[in-house]
Amino acid sequence: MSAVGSFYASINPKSPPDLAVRVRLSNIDASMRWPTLLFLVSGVLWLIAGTVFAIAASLKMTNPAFLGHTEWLTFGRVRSAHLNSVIYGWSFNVAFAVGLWIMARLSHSRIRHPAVLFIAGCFWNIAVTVGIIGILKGDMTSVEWLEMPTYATPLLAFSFALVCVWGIISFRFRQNEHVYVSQWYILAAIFWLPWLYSVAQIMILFEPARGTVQSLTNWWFAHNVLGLWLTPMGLAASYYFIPKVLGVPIHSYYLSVLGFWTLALFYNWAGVHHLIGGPVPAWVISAGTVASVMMTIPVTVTALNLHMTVVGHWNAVWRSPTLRFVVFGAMSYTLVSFIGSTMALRSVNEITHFTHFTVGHAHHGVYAFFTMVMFGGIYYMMPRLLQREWPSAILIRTHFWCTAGGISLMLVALHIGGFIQGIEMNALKTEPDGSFTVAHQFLDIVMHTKPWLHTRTISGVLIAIGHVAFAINFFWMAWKHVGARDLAGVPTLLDVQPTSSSAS
Amino acid sequence: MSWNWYIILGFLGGAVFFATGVWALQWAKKNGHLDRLDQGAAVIFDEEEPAGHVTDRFPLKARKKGKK
Repeated sequence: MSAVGSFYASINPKSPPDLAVRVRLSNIDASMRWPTLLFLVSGVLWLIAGTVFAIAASLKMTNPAFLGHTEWLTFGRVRSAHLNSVIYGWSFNVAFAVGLWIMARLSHSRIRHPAVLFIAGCFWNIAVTVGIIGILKGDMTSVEWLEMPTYATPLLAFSFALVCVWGIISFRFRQNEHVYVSQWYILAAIFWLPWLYSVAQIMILFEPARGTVQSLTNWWFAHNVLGLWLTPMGLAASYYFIPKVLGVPIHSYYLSVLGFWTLALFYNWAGVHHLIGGPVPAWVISAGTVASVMMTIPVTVTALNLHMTVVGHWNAVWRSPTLRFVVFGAMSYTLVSFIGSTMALRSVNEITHFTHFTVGHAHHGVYAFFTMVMFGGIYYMMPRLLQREWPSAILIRTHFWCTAGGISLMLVALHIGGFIQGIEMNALKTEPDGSFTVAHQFLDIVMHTKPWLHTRTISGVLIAIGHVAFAINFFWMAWKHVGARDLAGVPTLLDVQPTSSSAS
Repeated sequence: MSWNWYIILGFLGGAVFFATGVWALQWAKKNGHLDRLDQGAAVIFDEEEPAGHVTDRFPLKARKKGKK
């Protein structure tokens, strides 16, 4: 058999039966080790880079002259570099790592040819690096969530295709009869995103559509990256880690299936709520608003399901680094989704659109939900990938309190400040002759937001401290072995103890 | 391209995705994934990591050298 034929046979589950065997979870973790570590190391490095860009951009909002003399560090470029670092750098890398690891474990099958995944990871990060440098040197496209120059995107698409195909191959070799809900979410996500990305790139950048079709495509894409990629990955992780850590099955598997299919039905339509009030057909906006409100159905069933799974096990949640982050993220998912459904109503959108409220909402979804869930996933995965303990509980606690506290402070500041900003922008006063004029000058409204923006910077510094603590712990664990003799007892994260979940 | 072409392509794309969704749901029903849902919830556990065991907590403090 030729090399190509042999390679194809090794990824075809109908081929040699000795390949398609149910293997132990520890063997699966070993097969996933190097590709997953590459994605995680890259993700953590992009997280730090994105945090640096974020703080610089936040400082510039209250002090525009800060780094203003350097062309490649002007606000427009730094803010876009932040967004692309945390989305394509951090979020995608960690979603690949966590999603593929969960898929491999639930399929109970070793990953085939992990070197291919490793190469895909290298290409992905090379493309993101080229894209971020392109943004900073001034080649950005000015399309939100697609700022990377077009010379970087084909390599991104190729890398992503490799990762997706490997996720599907892992699924095809599954040894479990039943497809768990996390697998549904992961499969759906890797099915949806190539379509989203390629259509958006073609219709906005490579063969641009005319007029408002570009805007519609832009926000269909940007919202669906959150709703049909990051959200399914975050929910897949939540549905896996919460019952896995607690040792109890999900409360109602029926609700989880209902949640998945209603998300698939409604989420895709919601993106146009970013264009409420814009020059697009009213029926398109109405469809987006209706779909946004209907999203309360999958969000409610997911919230009920996860909450009822955790009820009675709060001690175990608090004592688990993984669940501190995952449950925080799951609760944030509920809140951000209900706020989002409300923001899609025209009367509310009149106030919140073009304000810091929307910025806060975006951070609520991508950070308070997705990123916190992924942090929890990493805390669970790393000991099993490396067969080592996390070196420092203090650094884990620092990470949790700084990031949870920081993002909570940011959300309060941006939501309150943004809402006040919206009220003031819409406010009118009656003149003596009966006519109406604006009640507040635009520059006054901008000055009123400054205290909230200072608070945002402080919250960003708090989050940065948490990220540094996490990065230190992560690289310390990866590069230094903590021997069993150094621990007060048996390794805890790798030790499976039959414990009552309500015990102190 | 005119608006008409975008609408046609949009509907075609939407139809493909809708059809795929219907196929996936029908595949799930045919292969019994919508039956015995309580059993489905337990697939994350196995003999190596069984149900009824909490599998994560904070690492204990390192014992100082020379001390018990």
